[in-house]
Amino acid sequence: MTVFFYDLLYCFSVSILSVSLLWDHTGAKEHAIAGVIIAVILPVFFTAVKNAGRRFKLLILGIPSVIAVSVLSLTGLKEGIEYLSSNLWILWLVFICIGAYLLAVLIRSYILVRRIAAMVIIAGAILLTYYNEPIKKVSVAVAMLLLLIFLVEMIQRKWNKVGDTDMKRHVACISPFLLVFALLVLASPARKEAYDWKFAVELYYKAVAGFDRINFSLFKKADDSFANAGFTENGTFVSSFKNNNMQIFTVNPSIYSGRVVYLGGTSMDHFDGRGWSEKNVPDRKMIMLDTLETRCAVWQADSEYMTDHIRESSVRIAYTGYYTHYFFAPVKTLMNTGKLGEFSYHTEGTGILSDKKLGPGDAYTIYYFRLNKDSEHFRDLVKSAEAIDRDTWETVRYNYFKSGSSGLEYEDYLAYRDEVYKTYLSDVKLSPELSEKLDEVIKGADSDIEKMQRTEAWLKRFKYSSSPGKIPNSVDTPEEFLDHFLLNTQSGYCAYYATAMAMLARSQGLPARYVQGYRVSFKDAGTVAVTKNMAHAWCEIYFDNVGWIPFEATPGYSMGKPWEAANRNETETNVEYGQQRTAEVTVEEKEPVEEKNDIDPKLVLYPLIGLAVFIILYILMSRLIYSIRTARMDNESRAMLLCRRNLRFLRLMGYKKDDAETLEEYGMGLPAETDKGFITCMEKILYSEQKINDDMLATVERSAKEILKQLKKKNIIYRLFVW
Amino acid sequence: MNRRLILWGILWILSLVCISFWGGPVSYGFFAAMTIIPVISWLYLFMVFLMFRIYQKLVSPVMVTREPSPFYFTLVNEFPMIFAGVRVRFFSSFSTISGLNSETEYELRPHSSIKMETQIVCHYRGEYEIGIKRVEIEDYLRLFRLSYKNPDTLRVAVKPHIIYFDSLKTVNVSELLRDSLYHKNTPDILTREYMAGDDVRMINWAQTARSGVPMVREQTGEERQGVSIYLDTYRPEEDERDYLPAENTMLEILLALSWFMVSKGISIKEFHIDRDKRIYPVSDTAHFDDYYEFISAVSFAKEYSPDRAVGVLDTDVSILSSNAVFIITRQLSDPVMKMINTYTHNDTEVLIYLVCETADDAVEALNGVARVTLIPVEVDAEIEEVL
Repeated sequence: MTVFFYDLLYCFSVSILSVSLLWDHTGAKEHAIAGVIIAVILPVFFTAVKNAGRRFKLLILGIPSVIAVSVLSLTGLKEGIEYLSSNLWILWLVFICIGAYLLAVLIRSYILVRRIAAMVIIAGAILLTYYNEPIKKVSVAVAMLLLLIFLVEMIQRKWNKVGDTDMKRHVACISPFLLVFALLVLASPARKEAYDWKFAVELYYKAVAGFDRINFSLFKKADDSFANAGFTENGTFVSSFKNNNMQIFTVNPSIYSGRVVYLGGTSMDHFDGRGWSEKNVPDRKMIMLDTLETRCAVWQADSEYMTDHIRESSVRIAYTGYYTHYFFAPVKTLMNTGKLGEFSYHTEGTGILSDKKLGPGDAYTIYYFRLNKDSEHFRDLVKSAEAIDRDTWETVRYNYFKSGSSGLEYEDYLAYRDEVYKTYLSDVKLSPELSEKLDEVIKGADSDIEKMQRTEAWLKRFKYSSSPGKIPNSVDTPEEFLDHFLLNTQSGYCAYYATAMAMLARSQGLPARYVQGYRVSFKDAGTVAVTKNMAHAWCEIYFDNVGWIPFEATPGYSMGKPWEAANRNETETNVEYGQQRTAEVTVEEKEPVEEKNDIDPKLVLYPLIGLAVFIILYILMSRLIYSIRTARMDNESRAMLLCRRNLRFLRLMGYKKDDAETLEEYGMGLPAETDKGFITCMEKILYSEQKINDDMLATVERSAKEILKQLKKKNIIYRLFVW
Repeated sequence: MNRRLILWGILWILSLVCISFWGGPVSYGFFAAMTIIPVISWLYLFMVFLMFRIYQKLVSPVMVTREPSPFYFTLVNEFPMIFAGVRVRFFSSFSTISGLNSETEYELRPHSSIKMETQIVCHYRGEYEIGIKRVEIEDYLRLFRLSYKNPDTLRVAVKPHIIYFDSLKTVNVSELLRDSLYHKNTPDILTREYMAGDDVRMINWAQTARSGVPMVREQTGEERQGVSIYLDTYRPEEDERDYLPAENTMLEILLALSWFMVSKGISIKEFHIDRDKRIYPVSDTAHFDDYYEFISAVSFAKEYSPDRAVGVLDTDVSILSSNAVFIITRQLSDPVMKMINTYTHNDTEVLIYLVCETADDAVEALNGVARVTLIPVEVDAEIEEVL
């Protein structure tokens, strides 16, 4: 049995491997189940035939032969050949299995062949992976199993041990573990793409967030790194932010805050093609000047219905597990000079920094104007904005600040405007191809605001990706970046889109800047916890006499819907997009045809009868052969044969003789009713030179009859098949 | 570290690299295979651990030091799977298994056993574990090895060995026993005329020469009798690796001396302290076996300080009337020195067998003390050579 299992292991593995590798070429795809059955049964059959004794070999070969002959005789040889011709896959599978069996015999017999097979398997696996050729999981699992068997044999061969070190028994006895191994390999998942290690990355950032929390709570260390976060040239956005779910602050909106608020932290003016930096930003109260400019523009253009364009709003920000000097504020912030709530602040460029470190427990309310940016009216206002005169400026300024508004005079405003152009408008020359594309986009736009809105919409049609890949080393200028991003990859994250928007605006002569902060979305009313992974980047463009207007060019993001003008009655056409008339197609339903499932009983009955006849004939033949053989034997051989048979029968009854046991000891252990007369005779045959006489032979034969009778009483199968 | 394990580690890392760069069944299958291999190996080891049995047998549960004793052990596989590699480690501190290499690995087929017959020799007297100490099993890929303590160890009581010799090297017995009545020839010994039946050893030859007729010594109640042997049963250490060898040496000296004396017709009194004072007299070899069993059962303990012997055993008349006192001890503590002083003041010859690593301090302490002989004995010394 050991040799059988050993051979079966090899034969089965090689057969399954061969069949799975060549499966697609056999045409057996539509007959998967039958094909698998053939691929499994044939190796077992070949191995059984090879390892069986003469009698069983006859049985194993005889049964399928009888079935085949019966089927052929029923269907006819011609029909049988026709059937095979139209189902060549059967022949293919049989040939593959035969070839695999022969290969398996070679592999298990010769070490050199085994080594070659191992090298072929490894080389094949490498090549298939390299060339991305399809391969089935079962092939891989079986190939791994074969390699493991080779390895086990190699180790066993070199292992210096005492005891039963037979190789075949060794492999056969550990085969269940090897098969479990193969099954587990087969069951393990296998993706088409390489593993992205998302869980490891998430785990890493969770650890970073946890470390940050501990750092902040234990050491109260301020994190002002936000100023340097954002665009990184290795192509991943603020990786320390995007995957970090550490809570920074909470935001509590007011009723006019809308669904989204963009809280800016800092903005940058200079882009070198690979990253942003803050180079030339003057230290001026740019935030307030901008807010006043916009307020003036709206008041000047539409003083009666100012709320159609801007709404005064507020948010309350409370810091939680985070320490920083930065205030986060929306564009068009209203701030008293020097103080934000109870906190004193100073500005560094466009950043608002607290004089003292802000941390858990610190909160402030920030007031700002929310722009109705995407409404038609606002667009018209920007289109037709006129220069702000001094009176307007002073009126608005006094209205808000009454006193303590130094640095916000009209002259400051004029100087500020010049500086905006100087700082935020660099010369960006687009490549001809990109320029052509942009011209197509903005064709027909009659104002700068419309051009920018169209550009924004165009960029929104691109693809969002948080890991668009490394920026090539050849990209060195804003123009080269734009070509790489907008013409080649066409995918990126918010920083890419914010940069592209800013550069495209500058190419049209509009000052633009890159802003980074947090995009807070209020899905339901109430406080929102802002985490580091809500960090975002967008673009702000300066429009003459209006001020900075934010633009959201990142696909999938929006700044919120515009609100309806209070006094306008717009008629809207009810256009439903996507509605199409489809022609009515009537499909005649065919009545299902009932398939007749009649099975010809002859196809089952005749083979069964043939099988039964074969088995009966086999039994009779075996008995006859046995009788003739024993009749021709001499007394001694016959007695020995009967003694051995008795031991075999006793073993079937559960009385197995131990190797270390003598016959006498064995006999003493048998039950009293067993005829043990043959044991003495067997001892005499084995250990003495005494000849067997007729009395002794008669004793042995009598014992044989009695033991056989006992055995047949035990089980009906013995009654039929043992004699 | 196991070379194969390192190789597996390298392959596993390689599989991680493969799945990081290439998708598909081959790279993921390779990674799965490398990850599953150790899991299956440990599962196999766990099954072997559950199903492996050891049976050990000693012919006699009582053994004597230095005498080989037949020892059998059987490794049994009750599992339907093969045991690829099993190794057994023996207790080696106090015993030796002969003819077996502890590096031998065994393979057992399903439902089979391997029986090994060998001899075991215990080196020290005492009660301790012998035989198989640990079992090491290895998986079929030789990646991992599981080592665990044998749960069914053999514990034996080992008796001390008796060394037989003809002469006492360190001590002149006749010199020692010159005060014995058999050898006393001084004039002032009481004598009488020889009568038929008197022991010829009792003839006082000096008196006989003077008187011209055979004169035999008269025995009086004040004659010194035999020798006494004091065994110091104090055990200062707690680790049996420290105290077993020394105690074994002490007992072997005691038994060797005892046998020698008794075989020469010199009666002995062995005395020691355990829960009480013990004095065991032996006058002839016929009773030596009982004496041997008694001595084999002597116990040592930290509580059996020689303090308890002082004032009890050193003033015992039967001991004081000995020709000589042999002291077998491991250290010349103050109580032992007191006993020595008591004996020497009593004109009793004292011989000290000091079982220790270094005896310099003892030699200095006994320098100039009359009637005292110090014989240092190393712990694992050959007793025959010492005595």
